[in-house]
Amino acid sequence: MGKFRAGNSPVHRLSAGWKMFLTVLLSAAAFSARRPLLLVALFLINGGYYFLAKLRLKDLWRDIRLFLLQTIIVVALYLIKDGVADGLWPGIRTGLQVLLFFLPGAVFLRTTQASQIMRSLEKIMPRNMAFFTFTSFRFIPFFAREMREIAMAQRLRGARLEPRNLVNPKNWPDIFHCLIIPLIIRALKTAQEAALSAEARGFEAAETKG
Amino acid sequence: MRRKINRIIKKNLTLSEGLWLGFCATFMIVTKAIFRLHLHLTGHAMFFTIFFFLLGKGTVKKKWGATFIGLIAGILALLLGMGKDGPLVIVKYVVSGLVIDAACILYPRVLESYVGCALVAAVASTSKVLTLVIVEMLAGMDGALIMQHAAIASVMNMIFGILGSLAVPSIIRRLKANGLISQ
Repeated sequence: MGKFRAGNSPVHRLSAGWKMFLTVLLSAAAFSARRPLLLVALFLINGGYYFLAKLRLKDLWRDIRLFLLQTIIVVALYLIKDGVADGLWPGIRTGLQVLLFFLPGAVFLRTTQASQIMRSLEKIMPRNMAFFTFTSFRFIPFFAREMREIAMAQRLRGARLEPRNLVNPKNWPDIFHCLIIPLIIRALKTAQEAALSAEARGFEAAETKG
Repeated sequence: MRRKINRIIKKNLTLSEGLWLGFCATFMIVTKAIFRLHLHLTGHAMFFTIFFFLLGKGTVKKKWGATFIGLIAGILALLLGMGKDGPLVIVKYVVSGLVIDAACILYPRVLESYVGCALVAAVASTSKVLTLVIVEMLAGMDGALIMQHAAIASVMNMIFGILGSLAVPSIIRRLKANGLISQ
């Protein structure tokens, strides 16, 4: 899980705030670039930004493959509507604009650690919201582990939860009865315990003073 | 502004409710990460996304509950680098939450019936392509083509979203019957 690629490039060294600013700037520029020359220039700037981050071609392929598929669909729709002569360029242009809109966001995710994003978010998020968000974040490994352990125990009891079983919709009730419901009950209890623990540490009290 | 939002959250949610909604968001992300390793079907992640959205909203009937789940899920997805949209992934989840909250404001008992859940799920799962629609609109794409593209992009999401939503009413009833959530 996670797109981050460790590195020591100039882009990696930028703060999350600056990267966010560059992301917004480059994404906004994608809308104004309609002429071929401007689009090529923006494409080169985005490419430069991507490779300045010392990201690999494999990463680029993973980041853009979905948008290439979208571009193919958009071009096909334009060709059906306007024919080859009138539809080809608008289709390619729109697909490219969509790609250039999303690419800076991919660089942001590839070069910014979760802890860096968290620090930036802490500065702008309300206190309660930050508490709920980061507590949920810290519980991800816990629930992932719980899920695997429940699944393993249920498989030993005969539940059809093997990856190959999941493809068959007939086995989906087992996911709910044997995996999701126990997990929900565990989560409800954990939420109550964590809330009690936070209250005992004075979380609510501190809030009412502010 | 931050204090105002703090007050709204405190007024509407207790700590345990907020944490439970946060855990619903966590489950969306965890199931998405775990199941996408095994299934290679387009849009299947929407199955659990919608399921946990509706489950959270159905168990904690508070204003903006689904939007709250969406906001946390979006931030978690951003922190874990999931999705192809970069920081816009937050918008995708929040919009789905807003749609569910709006449906519950219009008809508060919508999540108690299978048909209601399916309808809400259909709209909420389609709303995830909203960012793509906005981007294409700003790029100057033809309106009819945007709609066609949105329909193609969201059909699988909608199917899986509806399937996920159909499990919600019975699970809420079971949780209520066993006293795990308030009536």
